[in-house]
Amino acid sequence: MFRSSVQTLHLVRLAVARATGWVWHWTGSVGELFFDRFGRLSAIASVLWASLALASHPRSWTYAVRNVFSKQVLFTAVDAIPAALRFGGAVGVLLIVQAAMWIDAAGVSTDVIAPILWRSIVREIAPMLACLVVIGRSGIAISTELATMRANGEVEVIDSLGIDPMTFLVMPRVLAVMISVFCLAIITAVTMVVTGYAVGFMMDAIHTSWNEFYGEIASNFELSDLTFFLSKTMVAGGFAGAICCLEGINARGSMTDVPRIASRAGIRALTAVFAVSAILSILFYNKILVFQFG
Amino acid sequence: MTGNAPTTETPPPQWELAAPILEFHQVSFKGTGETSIRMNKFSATIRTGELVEVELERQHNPRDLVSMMLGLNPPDAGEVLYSQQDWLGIDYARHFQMRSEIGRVFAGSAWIQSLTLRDNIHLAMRHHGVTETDAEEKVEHWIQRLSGHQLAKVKWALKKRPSVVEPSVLALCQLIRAMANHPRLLILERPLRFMLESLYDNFVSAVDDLRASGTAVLFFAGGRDEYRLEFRSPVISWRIINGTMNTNGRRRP
Repeated sequence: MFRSSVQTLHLVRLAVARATGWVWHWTGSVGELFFDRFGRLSAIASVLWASLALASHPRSWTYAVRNVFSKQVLFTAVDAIPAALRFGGAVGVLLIVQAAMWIDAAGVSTDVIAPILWRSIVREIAPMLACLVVIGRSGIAISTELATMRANGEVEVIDSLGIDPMTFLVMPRVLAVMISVFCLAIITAVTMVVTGYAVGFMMDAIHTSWNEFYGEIASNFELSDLTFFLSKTMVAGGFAGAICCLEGINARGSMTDVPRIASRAGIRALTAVFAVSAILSILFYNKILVFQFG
Repeated sequence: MTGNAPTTETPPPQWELAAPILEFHQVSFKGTGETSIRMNKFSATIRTGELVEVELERQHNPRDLVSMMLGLNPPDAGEVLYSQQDWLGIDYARHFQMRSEIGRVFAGSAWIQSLTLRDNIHLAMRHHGVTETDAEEKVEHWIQRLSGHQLAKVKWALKKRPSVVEPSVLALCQLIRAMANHPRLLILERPLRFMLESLYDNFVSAVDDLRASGTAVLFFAGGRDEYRLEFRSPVISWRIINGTMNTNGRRRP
């Protein structure tokens, strides 16, 4: 009897110890994950803030920095225009076909659908598409370039020459990405509207003239659209640029690690763009899905 | 003896020591790899116009030691001063300004591969406010001074990216970059490794002229031929004993 109760007690103690150990382990893992994510977020925010602070000082804009910035804008914005046109055109056609379908199904007119289309293009789709183009074309290239420079010891060379790598390598790239996303989003939005109208008109899905269609859009344009568009492109672009630069400049190891770092940078930048976009939408609309705040 | 009594002792000689450029105070440094040069409570000073020669063995790599001298890596203990200023704190603008006064010839990777050699050489000068015309003039002067019969090759190479230029020309270009902006401190890590022997005299006279105008030179010599260069006296020698830097050096015979 005594022996069995001692055994039971021992088993209970063992179970409690295991359960406590598991709880500690789980709590530790959650804490570790939290600090890891928090550290990463604060690093991105620091890079973004430092880039903007450096950009606001005229003395940061030396000849060498201006040169890097202009080349980056050329590569990220100007060279990406054909890609933005293709993406915008394709998505514009898809949208207009969907809209035409709803016009027929719900029996509503173009003047009901046009503002909805315009809002979704300006506020959500165009900034997102521009981010996708910029990350796919330039973000991954930036992280690859910086990681290669790091692995080759070029960052150390720049440092030794008395040039701040943050001013010379990171700031112009982050800024170029922000501006590029904004410009490409405008091009994408315009392309979507024009292509959508052209295809819809040709397919007889749109029965109004271009002047009426454009007039409908223009009359529905509000200041909040511009605020939304500006903040979404700039903030999401800033995050994408900062993440790609950070991943590249923090690279450790040899050249063989560069492809892994580049793909990781791309995925993280995309995740951040979607997350930032969602958070901004929640903040602007003041509600999440159908639940209103306040 | 009274205070007014005449003295027969001659006053001590009144000479002024040259200004210290690079000072080490009890510096300990392990480095990052097996080939790194270590320091163990190392104290020394390099002054304006001085040439300090450090004789390297084949396996030695001075890169991370020099990076420590430039404040890029912290020492394990002790203090490194450049022009009586330390590398501590977060006054990064001051640190970068201090580094801009130092010319460095790198052992190993030395170039930004995405820029041409001309842009590489001009980069630091243009970044620190030298106008394009002045930078051109300075670079041209040092090209003429150092290149000798390699002049045409160097001029051709300036338009190219570093990856397509032969090492002997890259070595010359490194020297041109390090010397062009009249550095206060010149650190040379195996500068003659790929340089043609026929250009050694140009190198020696260029270093001596810089010293005469006040540049302190720390020369990591990497081969037998380099130890035998005839620099203007005095040449101070430091030795590396068991991988550790030592000031009790003597030039090899």
